[in-house]
Formats: sequence, C-alpha cells, structure tokens
Amino acid sequence: MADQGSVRAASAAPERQVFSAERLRTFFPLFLLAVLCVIFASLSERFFTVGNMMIILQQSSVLLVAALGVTFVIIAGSIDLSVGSVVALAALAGALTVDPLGPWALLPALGAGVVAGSISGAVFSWGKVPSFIVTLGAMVVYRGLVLLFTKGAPVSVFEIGFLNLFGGRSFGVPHAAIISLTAAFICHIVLTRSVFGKEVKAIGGGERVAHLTGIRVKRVKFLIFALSGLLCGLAGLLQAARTMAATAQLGEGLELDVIAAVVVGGTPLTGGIGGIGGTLLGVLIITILSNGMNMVGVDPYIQYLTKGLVLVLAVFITIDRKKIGVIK
Amino acid sequence: MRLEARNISKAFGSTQALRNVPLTLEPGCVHALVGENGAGKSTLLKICAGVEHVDAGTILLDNDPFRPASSTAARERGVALVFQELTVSPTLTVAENIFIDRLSQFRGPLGLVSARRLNGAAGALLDRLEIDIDPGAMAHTLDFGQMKCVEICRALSVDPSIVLMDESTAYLNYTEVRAVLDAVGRLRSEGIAVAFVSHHLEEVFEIADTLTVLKDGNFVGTYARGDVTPSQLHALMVGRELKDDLYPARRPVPEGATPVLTVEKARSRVDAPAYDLELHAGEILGIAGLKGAGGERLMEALAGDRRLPAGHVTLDGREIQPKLPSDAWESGIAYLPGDRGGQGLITAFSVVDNIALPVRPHRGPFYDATLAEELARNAISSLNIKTESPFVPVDSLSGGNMQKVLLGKCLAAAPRILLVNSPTRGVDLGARQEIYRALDRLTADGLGIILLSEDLPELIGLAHRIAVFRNGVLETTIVNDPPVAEAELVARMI
Repeated sequence: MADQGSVRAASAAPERQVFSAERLRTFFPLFLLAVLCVIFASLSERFFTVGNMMIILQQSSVLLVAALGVTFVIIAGSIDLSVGSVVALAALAGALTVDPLGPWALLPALGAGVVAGSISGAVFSWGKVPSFIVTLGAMVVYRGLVLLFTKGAPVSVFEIGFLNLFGGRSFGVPHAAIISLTAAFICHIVLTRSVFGKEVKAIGGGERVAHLTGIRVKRVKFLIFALSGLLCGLAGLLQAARTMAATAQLGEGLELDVIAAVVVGGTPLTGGIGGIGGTLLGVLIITILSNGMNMVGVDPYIQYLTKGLVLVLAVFITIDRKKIGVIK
Repeated sequence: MRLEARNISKAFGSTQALRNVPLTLEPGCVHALVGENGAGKSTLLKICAGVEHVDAGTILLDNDPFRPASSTAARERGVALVFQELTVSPTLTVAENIFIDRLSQFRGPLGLVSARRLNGAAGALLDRLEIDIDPGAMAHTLDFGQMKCVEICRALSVDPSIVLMDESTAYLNYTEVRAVLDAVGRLRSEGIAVAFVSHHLEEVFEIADTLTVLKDGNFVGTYARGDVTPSQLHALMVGRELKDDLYPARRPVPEGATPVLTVEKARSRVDAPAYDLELHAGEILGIAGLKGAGGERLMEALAGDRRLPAGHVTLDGREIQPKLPSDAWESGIAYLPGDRGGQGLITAFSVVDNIALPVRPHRGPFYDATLAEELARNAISSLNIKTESPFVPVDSLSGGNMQKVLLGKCLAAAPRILLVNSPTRGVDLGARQEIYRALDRLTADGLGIILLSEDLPELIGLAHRIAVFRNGVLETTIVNDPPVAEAELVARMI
C-alpha cells in the first residue's frame, strides 16, 4: 500500500521540477486559442477586428449554450448525443408560437428543451439505460418529431420583437453573445459554488461512493439532463433568431461539435473533473478555427481535416493519464 | 534452486525504499517478509521478480548472477511473482486466466486455441495444488480465494523454483485464506522456495519457516519461526514496543440503557428464519460470519443500499425504512464500506471534498467551503490524519491515512450509529491502533457501532457482543466478556 504511495510521491517530485509538462496540460487550451489567433491575424487583416470578434461571439453563442449543459453531463460521467435534435425541437417550438407570443416564445422553446431532456434523464436514471443509448435514441426520435411537424419545410420567424431580443445587437454587441456569456457565468457559479455542482462532480468521480454517501444519484442525474435540455432550449431560441427560421436540419451534427468543445476545453469524458471555463475556451477554439479558416479561404475539405486533427491533438496533450487508469 | 540477494538498495526519486537489504530463499522453505506499510517488502519482491530494477546490490540464483530485465525474463529463469492485486479477468475462463500470456502454446493447425488441451494443462496445475475448480469455469464465478489460487497456478505454469507472493491474503475472508495457505503449504512440500508477504502475523506464524523483518527500507533481521514471539515481532516491525495493547480496554455499556437501534423479524432471504437484534448506545456490536452468511446483508440494509426481504428497524424508538443511503444518513446512520477505493472514497478528490461529502454544507443554495474545510481540519486533528494539507488528493495518502479520512467522513455527519465494515483492511499496525482508539472514544461519547470484520482477533478485541451469522440466519449472539476464543467463533461460523 504505502509501497505504492512512496512510488507515487517519488514520481511526483521530479514532475514539479519539469513544470512545463503540468503547465502545458493546464494551459494548453488557452495557448492553442492564442496560437490560432496569431496565425489567423497574420494571414488575414480582417480577422483581428472588433467586427469579426463580434461575429465570432455571435457564431459561438449556440455552440456555447448547448455545450454548457453537456459539460455538466460529461463531468457526471455521462454523455448527451441528443443536443442537436433538442435544439431543433426547441427552435421549432419557438417558431411555431412566436406569432402570438412574441419574445415570450421563449417559454415554449425552453419548455420543449426541458421536457425533451427530462425524458432522456428519466429513462437514463430510473430506467437504467446507459446515457449513450438513451440519447442516441432521443437524437433520432426528436429529429423525427421535428420532421413530422415541419414535413421538411422551414418555419420562418418574422416577429420583430423576438428577432430583436434574441438576434439583435446593442451598441454593436450581439444579444446572443450577452445571453450565452451570462448563461456561462451562471453555470460556472452553479458548478463551482452550489451543492448541486459538488454532487455532479462526486457522481462523475465515483458514482458508487456518491450513492453510498447519501447523494440522491438518480435525482441528480435526472436534473443534469433536464438542465442540459433547458440549455438546448435556449440554444434553439438563439439559433431560430439568428437564422430567422426553424428548419428540419437545424442543429444537425451539433452534438459532435459540442462534445469536441467540452473535451478540447480539458474536461475528460471519464468525468469527475473539468469546468465551464474550459468549455468556453473549447467553444472559442472550434469557432475561431472555422471562422479563421473561412476568412483565410481554406478549402472546406481541408477544414474538416484540420478540425479533426486539432481535436485529437488537444486531447493528446491535455489528458491527465495518471488520473485516468484505463483509456477506453 | 536457491535465491540469494545481497545489499539490495533501491530509491524512488528522493525516497529510499530499500537500503542494503539481504534476502535468502531456500528450496522447500516459506520465507515471510514482515514490516509496516512502506517498509519495502513489495519493492524487494518486485526486484527479485524483475518488475523493478536495483540501484545497487546483487542477486544470485544458485550462485549465478541474476539481473532480470523484466518479469518475463525472471519467469524464464524460474522466478515467478503473484501480485498483491487481483489480476484475474472475470470474463475469461480459469484456464485462459492461468495461461493468459501463453495462449499461443495451445494453438492448433488453424491457429485457433484448443480448449481441450488448454483445460487439460490448467486442470493438471489445479490438481497439483489440490484445488477443486473446473478449468472451463468463468472466473467471475469464483470467490476471491479461488481467484488467488488461479494466480498461484499462473505462477506455477512456468514451472518455477521460486514463487514470490505479495500480500496474497490481504482481501480474503477466513475460508479463502485457508485455501491460499494450503496452496502455499503444497508449494513448500514440492521443494519450491516461497517468499510470502502478509500483514497478518497469525498467518505468518502458521506458514513461515523463516521471517525477515524490514523497517523503513532497512533490514532489521532474519529469524527462524521459533525464535521470536508475536509481540517481539511487533516491536521489531514498529521499532518500539507497542505502548499499549493493540486493542483498547473495553468500556462497560451503560447498565439498563434502552437500545438505540432494534432490528425485529428481519430475514436475510425470504425463506430464511427471522431474527431480532439490538444495539445500545456506547456499544460495539461485532458481526461475524462467512461471506454471504447474512451479516453484510444486514449492514447494507441498515445503510439503505439494499433492502431486506422482511424486517422492522427502529432507531431511537422511531421506525425507519431506509430505501436509499440518503435516508440512512438523514436518520443518523453513517456507513463505512469495506471497499475503500470503490465505495468509500473518491480517491482523486481532496481530503476536504471527501470528508464533507455526506454533509455537503451550504448556506442557502451555495456550498459552504469554509465549513467544509473546518470539518476536514477537525477530522485531521482528532484522527491524527497525516496529510500535507486538506487539499491534496486522497490517493496521495497511505492506506492507513486514507482509512482515517473515510472514518472522518462518516463522523463529519455526526451520526447516532456507525456501521463499520472491515475498517483496517490493508492498514498497518500503527494506524490500526489509532483507528481502534478512535472507535473506543466514539463509544465513550455514546455512539453505537456495528462492526463487521473478517479479522476475528479484531472483532474479539473490540466488540462488546458478537452476532454470529450462518447461512442467512443469526446463529447466536455471544457476550464477549470474558473474550470468546477464536476457535469457538470459527466453530459457530462454519
């Protein structure tokens, strides 16, 4: 026992001297973000302008809001693949009710998200079906629901109050950016300062321990998916306002970008550790990568290639292999 | 074959794990290595087995220099190690586990493994140790003792002349330990040289012919079994005579006190007879029994983890029905599980986060980090937890200190009743004594403790009464005053 302890203590000692390895891991997302900015700024004059920064914030808002909820899910050691479909469902709920309700279409959109997330959460927690399977099914079911309602045709949004509130700008700052950053701040406080946040981390760190310690694991897991649904609802709202329509294809593939953003931000899929700050960085990295490559005029096929490589590279460097015994 | 190690030294970073340590293993002889955690026993075995490499010193195998580059190289020279951890893969068969690294030997003309030849070879090894397991059985159907025996067979499969066993009995119960010790006896009678590490001195005195004592990486001495008494051995291991007895003097239970907890008409299985049990404030109630006898089942039921098919539980006169662990904690029942890493502590989390986990102190919706730290600091000082700070991860602590963190976590909730399952598994003598003292102090404060343990001397040393379970039934409740004999307890269990 202590024989192992002394080995661990001994191997930790030289690591403190080689501080670059530990530092690199912690600060790599920030470093990567800075490197991308420098590269794109040197290749395109238009990249590092206030205007483009605002565009980046606008572009990242949907991804960020959706990724916030998934950060909770992943820290708890689960996964949510239904994000894109729930965003589409929520956008549709908003678009269908925007004419009578105006900005209050917020409520049906958020409501649709919460209900969709809660159903996944309930089946996962009490039905004991792995979250990967539940949300894989949910992804297809909710997409089907959207197709059923829209028959494939977009539902346009013309209500000016709604569009102004969620898609407009004040003093040049996109409202979507303000909303998503506020949501990120609240989620950060919830994760780091609330009892719920502690419980989420404990479940990801060791679900059996958390259960035996008196945490109501099933209820917390349900709440995490309800929260993820709520945030997808908000993301759907922002997306509908931005594209002025809810389409059947809206949010397709978003779940993969979301997971990539969370993981690039340093939250491992094994759960227990991670945070909102990392997710914010991950979202910016992914958004800036697309924005910058478009601006520089990189071939779209090469863009795919680059994004995939950056994802694997980031995890290759940031993953703390000591804390994760088996890499699956 | 004879293994002789001279002046072995090994350092891990700044920690000197071994300093000029000698070791001689003779054929047909069981040589026990004893010492506290961190004494260097495992490191010494790993060096002999080629898992670790020496910084200085020489090893001779029948007077030939022996410096294995890897464990495979060591096995080829006839030196095999049985690891401390269980390395049996539950989804493979017994035979596949035994030959896991050499399955290619059993390939047929098509390159496929022949189950018949594989099982035949495994069966021969099992017969050699007189172990009654079907080589084709899935490993998950075995108990831990049988799994350990499978690992011994794996070591035997390379036809070694020297077998090194690192804490092979650490997580085994009474009957499982017997199976392993019997296997060791058979290795000896075949003329194999065995090195054996164990924390349990009773086992050491039963099985070993010679003993080597290590302390903090230093060689203390090598003794023939008859030359030292257990208490002398304690003193050699710790470097001082244990100041007091290992077990504190039992306090009397307050006379005529009404029970704090009663269990009525409980059944372990639907078809098992019902039993009643009670626990008084200030009392330690021991629970003895083999695995599956019903004692653990009762404890899990009280902890809210699994429900009993029938039974009523009353705490302080109120009936409670813990459906979930959270119900149990809320009604004042704290549970210290037997599996420290898997059920007790989130080892990657800090000492504070673990200790505050059952309480999760908060002001309004916000987590109260100040109060959490206070809880941790209280536990660190009252249980004498040795840690750099409350904020280091638990897995940087030694086994004994981790166990104290786990106890501190249970006590942070200020419980009425403490359920303790095997509190000193893999814990060295010094820490064990401290844990026993802590339990004793808690009873003085009026806490009721239910102690389940496979370590019978521990039960006898601590409990006021011992409830013995057998086949799902409460066989008897023994008043442990004067202390019951271990043999009597075993007779009741089996």
